[in-house]
Amino acid sequence: MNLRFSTEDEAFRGEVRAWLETHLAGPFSKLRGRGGTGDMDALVDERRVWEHELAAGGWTCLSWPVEHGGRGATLHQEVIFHEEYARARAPGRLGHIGETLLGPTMLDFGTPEQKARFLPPIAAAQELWCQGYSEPNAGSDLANLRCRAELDGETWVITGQKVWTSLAEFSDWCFALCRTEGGSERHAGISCLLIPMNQPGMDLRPIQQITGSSEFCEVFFDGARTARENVVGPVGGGWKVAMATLGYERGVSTLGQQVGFTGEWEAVVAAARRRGTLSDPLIRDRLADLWMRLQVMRHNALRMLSAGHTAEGSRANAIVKLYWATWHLELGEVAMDALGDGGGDPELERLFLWSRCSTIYAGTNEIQRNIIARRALGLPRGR
Amino acid sequence: MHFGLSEEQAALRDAVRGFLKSAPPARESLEDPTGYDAELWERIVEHQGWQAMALPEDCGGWGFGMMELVVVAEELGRTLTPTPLLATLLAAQAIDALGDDAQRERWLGAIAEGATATLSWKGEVSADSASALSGIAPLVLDGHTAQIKVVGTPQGWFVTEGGSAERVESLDPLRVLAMVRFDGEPAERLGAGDSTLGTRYSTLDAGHSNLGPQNSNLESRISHQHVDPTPASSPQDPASRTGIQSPEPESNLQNQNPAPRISPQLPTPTLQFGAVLLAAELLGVAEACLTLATDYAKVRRQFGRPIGSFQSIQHMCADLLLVVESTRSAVWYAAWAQDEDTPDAELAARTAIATAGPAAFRCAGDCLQIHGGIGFTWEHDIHLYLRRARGSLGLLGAPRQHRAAVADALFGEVTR
Repeated sequence: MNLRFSTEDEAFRGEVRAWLETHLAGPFSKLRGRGGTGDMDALVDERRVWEHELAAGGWTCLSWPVEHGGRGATLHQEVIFHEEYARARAPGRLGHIGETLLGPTMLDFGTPEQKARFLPPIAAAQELWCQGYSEPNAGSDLANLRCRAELDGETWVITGQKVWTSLAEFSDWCFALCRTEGGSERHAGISCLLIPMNQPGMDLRPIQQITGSSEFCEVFFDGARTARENVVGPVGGGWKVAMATLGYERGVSTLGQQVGFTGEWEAVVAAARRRGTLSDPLIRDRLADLWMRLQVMRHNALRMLSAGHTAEGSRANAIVKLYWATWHLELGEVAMDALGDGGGDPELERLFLWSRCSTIYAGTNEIQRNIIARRALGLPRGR
Repeated sequence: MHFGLSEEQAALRDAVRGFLKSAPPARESLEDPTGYDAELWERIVEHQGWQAMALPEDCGGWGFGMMELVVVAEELGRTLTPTPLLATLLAAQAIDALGDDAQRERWLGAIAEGATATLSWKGEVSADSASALSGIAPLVLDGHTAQIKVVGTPQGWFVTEGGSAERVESLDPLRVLAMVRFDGEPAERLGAGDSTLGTRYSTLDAGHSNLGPQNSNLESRISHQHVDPTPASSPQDPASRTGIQSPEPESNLQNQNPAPRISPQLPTPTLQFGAVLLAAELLGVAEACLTLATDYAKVRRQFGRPIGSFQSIQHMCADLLLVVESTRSAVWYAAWAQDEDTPDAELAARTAIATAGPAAFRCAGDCLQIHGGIGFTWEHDIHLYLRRARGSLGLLGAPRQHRAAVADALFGEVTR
């Protein structure tokens, strides 16, 4: 047990901190604290410029190999970067889908030509990506997807619908799961296609959420096209690729997320102090409980990172999403109670409303429990 | 950066686990008037040395840390093996924190050799000017077998080999409580040979942290040799006088007054130490119950299939894994924080016990539920886990009291 980062890692932390301090200034100052969850559609033009600034400083795609535009950073360095980024309240990333989902998938499954074509523009923040997985009838049951692609000579022609696609309006490309074998069912016959967004045959409709804002789109494909070679992994073997994509998120950003949650918790404490509810023993009890669980969240993440791909690491990893989602939902509820009799705090009210999707997106709590039961505990499959 | 056991600690865990596998099942001690297997304890003292492991080297100990103790305690919780270890180490910690050099050498030396000990911080025992104790301590852990007793009184902390004890019926028959009566037995004032004394008899209750904006003197709070010089508070709280663990009130809505401070009066370093040790034991309890529950859910068949294939059972088990994993992180972190004397060590200890207590109780309760009728029988071990988990929930302060202390540290105290 040693929870201190090495001298080299701390030097790296200093470098990140200094860079963010210098660069997140001037015109970028107003981006602090913006573009996060519940606010993803804010100041997009300015954040696009910020993405370029990050890329120019070499702070995108840290863990990628240098040859593909990364800096070959270690796991610890990556963790430190995410922590510092959150601590500086730097804006929500626009390029994270390409960086953390498509990039690693392509590094594992892509052809040399695909890597050369697609990875450098992600690292340079020149091309933004969105992810086309969910469909109206394929949410928790992803294998029920229906969107199809058919070959017309050397191009795929895509027909169908995706939903809950974040940042679709601002993206240049979409990696989408499509059925490439007519009549195929469930996990078979699916391919992972790379589809350019700016073309006829694509229609985007923003979804207005309960928060009133729109951070997700419905994406309609009606004869949209992409070149035959734009398939990651084998044609018909997309399910395996998709599962790999969902598995890359192994806690690297969890610590940064925990820093962000700490900021939200502090905002609730501040509101409770302002409104005089911080002297209420029940509010204190729940805020202290949330604080304790916030510490546990961090220590779970550190333990998971240290244990890696061992049995202990898998168990610690299995609970991450369920843990933070449930925590966040409760924070939203305590936030409302902390306001006392009256509302009138748009920031906390937005937090409350947004927290209602924590337990739904990226795998509902119910699906998480299914996965934990089957994979981590080895319980038999239900019918 | 490494959050986990070292190779040596993992080897220790395997060795402890191996040893306990050959030990008689815990339930064999149910009929034993001592509450534990004296022969097994002798073997532990002789061959395993768990009682000496974390004692200072200059007092006959090995000088290991909290991490190693936590590894042992988790295994003891897993098997429910009854031993006088928790009571003995609590007493040793208090002697280490409060005693002078001669006392530490004498009493810790005896404990390292295998003497059993306990600590009493509840009840009405007082000391006269000649350091003779009189009064009753109603619920003392292993009070009937402990050779050395460390006793908190309004006059300070004392250590004695005297006192007569009587076992008390209580929820957990594998962790015996006893009523100890003192009738003028001679005792030794802890720290008597220390000229800086007078400030060292502070008692800080578990619901009342000394952390936080009002008192940020972290060093004095954490150091084992310098207990915070808060004036001694006598156990005047009527609730603590009964010595009975008070149940957590459901809510404070029924009256306008804040909840009364019903707290054990313990020196903060001792509370901190005990909280982590007990939390580690409860981690073992929680793990054992999770394993029992999932193993049973895989083999028990109803409606023609294993009950573990039903989503309601799967989701219960998944939630148990979540609480077990969180408890492990909380306990390991608290142990490390204590070994490293970090500024948040007290908060980490309170987080550990406030996490582990409810976790163990939930795991034991749900484990019983998943077993159905068989779980409600005397012959199955589940009730022993349930008894241990519930019986431990308030042993060193209720979770709500620890959260209150953490709230005071984080937000400042409320003027009441």
